[in-house]
Amino acid sequence: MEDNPTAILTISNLIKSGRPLTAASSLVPSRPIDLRNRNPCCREPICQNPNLQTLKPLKHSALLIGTVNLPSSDNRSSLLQCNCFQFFDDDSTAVCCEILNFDTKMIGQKIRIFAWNFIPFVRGNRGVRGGFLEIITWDFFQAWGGSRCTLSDFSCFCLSLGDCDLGDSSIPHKLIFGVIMSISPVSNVPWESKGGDSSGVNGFLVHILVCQCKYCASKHPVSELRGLCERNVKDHRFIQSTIVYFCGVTSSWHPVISRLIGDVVLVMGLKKKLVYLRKEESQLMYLTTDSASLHVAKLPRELRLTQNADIIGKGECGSYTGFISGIYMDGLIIELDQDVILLLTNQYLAFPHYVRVGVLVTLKNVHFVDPHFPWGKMLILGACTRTSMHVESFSPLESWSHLKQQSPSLLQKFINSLPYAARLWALLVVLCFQKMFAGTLSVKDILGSQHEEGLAQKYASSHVPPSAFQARHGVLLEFCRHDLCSGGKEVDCRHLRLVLPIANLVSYCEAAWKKVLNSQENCHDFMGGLNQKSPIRCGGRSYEQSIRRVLRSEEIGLVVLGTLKISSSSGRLQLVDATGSVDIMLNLPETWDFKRIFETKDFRLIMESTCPDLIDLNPTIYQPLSCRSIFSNALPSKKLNISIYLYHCPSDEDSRSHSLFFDWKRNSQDINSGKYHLLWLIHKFPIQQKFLGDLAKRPNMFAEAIVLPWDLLVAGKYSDATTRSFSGHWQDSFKNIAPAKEHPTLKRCKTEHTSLQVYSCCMDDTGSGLENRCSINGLELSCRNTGERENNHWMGMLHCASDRAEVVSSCKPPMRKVLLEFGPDFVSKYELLKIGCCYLVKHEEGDMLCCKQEKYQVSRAKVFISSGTFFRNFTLASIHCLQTADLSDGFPYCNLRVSGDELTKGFCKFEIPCLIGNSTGSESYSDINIFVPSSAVNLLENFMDCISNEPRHSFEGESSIHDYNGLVINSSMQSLGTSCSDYPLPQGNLITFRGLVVAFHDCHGVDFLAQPGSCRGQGSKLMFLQEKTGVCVHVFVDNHTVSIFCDRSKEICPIGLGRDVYATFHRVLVLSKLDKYMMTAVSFITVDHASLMREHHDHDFSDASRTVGSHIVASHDAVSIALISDALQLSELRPMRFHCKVVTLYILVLEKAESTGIFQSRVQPIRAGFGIPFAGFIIDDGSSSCCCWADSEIAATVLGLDLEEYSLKDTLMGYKAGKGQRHISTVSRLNQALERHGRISVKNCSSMFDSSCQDLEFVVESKRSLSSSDEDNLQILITKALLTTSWRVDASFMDPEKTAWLEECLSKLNVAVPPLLNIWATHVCRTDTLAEARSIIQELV
Amino acid sequence: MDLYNTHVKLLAFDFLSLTPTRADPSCFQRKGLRLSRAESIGVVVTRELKPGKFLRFTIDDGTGCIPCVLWLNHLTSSYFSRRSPSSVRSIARTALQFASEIQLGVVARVRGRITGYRGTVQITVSDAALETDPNAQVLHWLDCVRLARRCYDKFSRIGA
Repeated sequence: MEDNPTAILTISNLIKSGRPLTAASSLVPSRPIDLRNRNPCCREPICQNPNLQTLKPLKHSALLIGTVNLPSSDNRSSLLQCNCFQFFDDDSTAVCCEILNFDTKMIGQKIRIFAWNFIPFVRGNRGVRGGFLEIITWDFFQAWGGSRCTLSDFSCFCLSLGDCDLGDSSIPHKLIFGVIMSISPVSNVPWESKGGDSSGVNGFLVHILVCQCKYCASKHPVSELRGLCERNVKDHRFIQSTIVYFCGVTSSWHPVISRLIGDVVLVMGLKKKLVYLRKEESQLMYLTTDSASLHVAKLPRELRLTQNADIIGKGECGSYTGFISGIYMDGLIIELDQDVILLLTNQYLAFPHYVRVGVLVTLKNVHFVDPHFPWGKMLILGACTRTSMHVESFSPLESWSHLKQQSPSLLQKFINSLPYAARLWALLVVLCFQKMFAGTLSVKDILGSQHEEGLAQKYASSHVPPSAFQARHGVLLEFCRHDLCSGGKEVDCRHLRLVLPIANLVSYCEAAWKKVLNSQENCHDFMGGLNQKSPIRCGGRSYEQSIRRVLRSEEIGLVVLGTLKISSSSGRLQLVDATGSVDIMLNLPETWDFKRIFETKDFRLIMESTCPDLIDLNPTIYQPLSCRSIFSNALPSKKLNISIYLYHCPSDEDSRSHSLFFDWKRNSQDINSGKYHLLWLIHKFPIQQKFLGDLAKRPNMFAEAIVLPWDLLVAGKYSDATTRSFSGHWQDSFKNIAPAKEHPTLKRCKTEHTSLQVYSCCMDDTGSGLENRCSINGLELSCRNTGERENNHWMGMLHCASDRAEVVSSCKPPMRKVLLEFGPDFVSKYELLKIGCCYLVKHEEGDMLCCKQEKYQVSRAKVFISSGTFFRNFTLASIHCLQTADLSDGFPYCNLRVSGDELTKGFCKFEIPCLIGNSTGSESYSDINIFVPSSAVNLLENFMDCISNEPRHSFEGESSIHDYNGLVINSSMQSLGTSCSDYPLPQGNLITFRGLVVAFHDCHGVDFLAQPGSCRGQGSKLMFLQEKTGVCVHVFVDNHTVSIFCDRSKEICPIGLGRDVYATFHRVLVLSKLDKYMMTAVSFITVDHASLMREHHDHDFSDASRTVGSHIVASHDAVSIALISDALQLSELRPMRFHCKVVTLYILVLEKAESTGIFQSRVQPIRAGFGIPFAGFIIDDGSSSCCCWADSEIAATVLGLDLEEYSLKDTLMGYKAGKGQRHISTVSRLNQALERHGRISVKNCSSMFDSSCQDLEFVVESKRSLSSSDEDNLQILITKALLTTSWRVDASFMDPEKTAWLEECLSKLNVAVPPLLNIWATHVCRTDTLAEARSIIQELV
Repeated sequence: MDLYNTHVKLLAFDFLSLTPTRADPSCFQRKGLRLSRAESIGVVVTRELKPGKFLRFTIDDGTGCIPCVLWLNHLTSSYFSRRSPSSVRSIARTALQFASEIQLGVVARVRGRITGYRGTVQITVSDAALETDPNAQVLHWLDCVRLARRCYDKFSRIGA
């Protein structure tokens, strides 16, 4: 290359061009890269940022000629703290440079540079244009003149101030002969010199292990120093730790000495000095003098210390070589090899210009920290004062060097005081806060300023234990006392959860979802598709079961912050931040302020979907949670169509109350004195979906409630309890609530004596007293707000609201129902109300809740909820609770007499019995507990029971069946709608029940009607269902499964509704007796949140084979697996289970649906087209054979008709359309044949035991004969069914009635019952080979 | 107890020890128990195809090799002439399908009649299928052991 004509460029030319350039593209690097210390786990190539391009090469060869010099002290003090070499060319223009194959002899010599990169940048605030030269290959311009070192025999390189003159070579010298271990960055020490110059002195510290062998310990004249190298390397003992301070002019040696780490050097011209590091702590160190010189010994490099031994990630020092794959936060964080994070947060650390994305660097003396964060695996490299960085290969990318900000803020000081793992976490908190609150909070609010803490710092400091903080001591002290640096004190940071922006959370979910699908696909591959779990079957069709994946917050180590909002499009509660939103299931108190920031620490992250998206399964898109994804400025967008939502677990209330953003306890507001109505919410009407999303036409929402016949009169906050007497003036305080004439009911309060008497009676004659005394005019009670711990009680009186009505324990109580109407602006109030809960509503003058406004028994008052209407949830509890809670000191009522009977009852908390569906008391937060005497609780309980058992005429025809807990609510029903045959509308009874959702799938109305147990005889009435598409929900209620058809809209199907969840279906329309229901416009679904906590949700994906009936046959699990030969010995009718195969078909009858065939009475149509009245199969399990009879769905399963539907799972496994289409055509042809013939019977006229000999005879109902194509079609169907699929058959002996019926049916077809064991199949599924093999081996061993 | 029409599951070493009965050439004996049909799973280790006539192959279940023959002459053989054409077509089509699937190295499940050929016992295949479930072979082995213990051996004793 030197012979070729080349252009000689100057630095000024390059700076003027202002473009990053390379003149090295055609050169092969001549210098091998030292990868000895490279982390062996770095296997992946650098992930290149697609926005980065490679450096533009010059089109011609270009040469640079100039001199490389040490950095001048002027340069360092003026602009950046830059310790780079300087390259001067003939124009005397200087730029910083870095040299790959550095030779110490090149300093000060004129060199030619053959290959180089030039990166322009602007220096400082004054806009001085400069650049950085990366020298790749170079050579001396002239032959090097040889060493002028006086120790040329000893050293291969000499660094000295001026000529190397060691004076009289015969005078013995004290030597610093040792191995350079580490070097500090150049720092400035304030130093007021005699001349008054207070600029301080620059310098750096070098840690040298000095040899303590006998030879080196004694003084030798210079002339004998040669012996140092001649000695065997192993004879030296480099053990004594020594600090040398290169200060003043020698501070410019930093870039050279930093390259000599691990080399053996001889340093001369030093003086000893005792340096005070801090009070009462001094360090003896060597300072350089004007005659200082440094000589690199000609010792083999093998002497270099090996490092990286025993690194387990607890802060050990070591070396690491890796590619820089990302630089974030102004260079505070550098990502190496994509999963290693280098923290360069110390502000005094020099940041070399060559640190760009794509560069290969070696870090020496860096702390290795494995943070053990639950949310991501990574290795942290913590830089300290002893850390140094060297380039191994320059970046070929057009990336820019990052300049660190110089003035550390309060936040940065805070971060620097943390251990490395917490430091990274804090930096992520800062970054995530910036993302989450972009646009809502200012940068200053988040980051703080020089003197004020920002939100991020407040949050971080509240999570890091005080013991983790460590004061910083500066370069000098931390270098000398290395244990003081952060690496020496690593605390356990596993508890630090990552605050993740919602967009990143969604992306994280998608990655997790992808993992689930991968595992599922692997499972398919492994199982080969034959024994895979079959999808759910319903109505003759198969449906893909949804897969749910639940992640616990404590396992994934995440925290989500945001504001809560009711989505205007879906009506669902959402957690929102600047990056996105996610649905959340949460029980909020009614007083929640929606402007507050909500923090969820304890939550479940739930993902659910029915079908994987085949298109988007690109593994490169979905990366697991990494710092890279968080640091990236681009927000990830949701790519998969899966349902993702959070469930906020109400288990850990402490964590909520300690949130930085809100105090859960302070959230509850005080109760003002006054009168409150007691409402019992019994129903919520769903938001009309046609209005959703249309802001201009937002509808009003409605709820239904019962006004309890008491009002709560609150006198005011109780305080200073000891100065008040029970019978004292608190009663008088009721007089102050309102003028008596405005509230006639309060007049009763004046009858103090009566009230007290009643009270006393209650306490004395618990239970029986109430029975005898049948009326109570007023119950005195105390009311306490549970939200506050300290003496926050209110006096109250529960007073009968009716003028004439008297609350009688054994009489029918008066009650009134109201319709609550919520305006569009009060959707949050509507959403927060829960069916079955009781609420206090402040009385307002003239409100409709007040019984005085109308006759009490007049129902259907409509109350418009305004902004001033607040609902406060309350529960009633026995006053006994207070006594057990040892609050008697501050609560006068606890000193009341309690009868012995009451004491024996123990703790007696009473909650108003909720309507079914809300039987999860633990999850609801009660704002207020009203403590009343136990007797009064009994009275109220009776009253509530009375209401619950009230005939439904007042509940709009709602009825209920047994819920899961066996609680009988009601069984009466009332018709809805009008009966009009011409205009079919939903009509029937409404019902409310609670149960376990066992399956959930898309469904068409036609298929819904085709399900077994359908609504025979109601066909014309159910025409409205025919064209509907929606969701079929199978719910396990009262030991049997029912189906509910609902619209697939978000407002109908609440968040969380899915498999394995307990849900209450309020006011659903009964389509047939107890097994088919339909959601109507008034129906409402509530999901039992607590059921999401159950363990069975935590499987990676649930058993996809679960069929609708699996819960029913669950009891059959008790059935022992039997051999057919054993069954032959049995005489009793009991269920059996066989593992067998079908050998031949005995008989099969197919019938067109709705035909008037002879067998119709038993036909359940498996599809809209046809049904199977019965079929007989000869089955064989190796021990014997028998004839297994089945009908409808079970027969269809054996014939493979359940798989005829196109299955997405099939396509996943590579079962392309061919198979599915063939099946579909088989079925459709079968349909056509049945259309023509009505009924087809297939008889086997040949051997019952040999499939290859079976001779099928086809008999049709019509007089016409079956076409050969139809015969072939049926032959194929049957032959396929006989192929060696193994079945698990649950069956029972046929009872005489069934046998007689079968004989009758067969006789009409001139077929006899086979002379074999005849059994009737109750359930059939494919064999789970693994499970069966396990069971057999357990039996055998 | 009669297992004559049952597809017994026997491991190869057990199957190969079956002996023909003198009275009935279609009947074989295992410890005095009359058998005529069997089922087995194994790796196809030999394969010889005579198009239009038969496929002869051997399956190795780990305990021995069972010779099998699958007839492919349904459409030409007079044996099937009295059957309904659609049945014969179906049987022939199915047999061809089996033959195409039985390839060297695959794990196959076969059921059929126990027959003798040149002094050795073999299976005349009624139906065959590929077995892609890796657990199926293990299940078959365990099934064979269980059936031998709980059924075949017991019935042999009763019969004896």
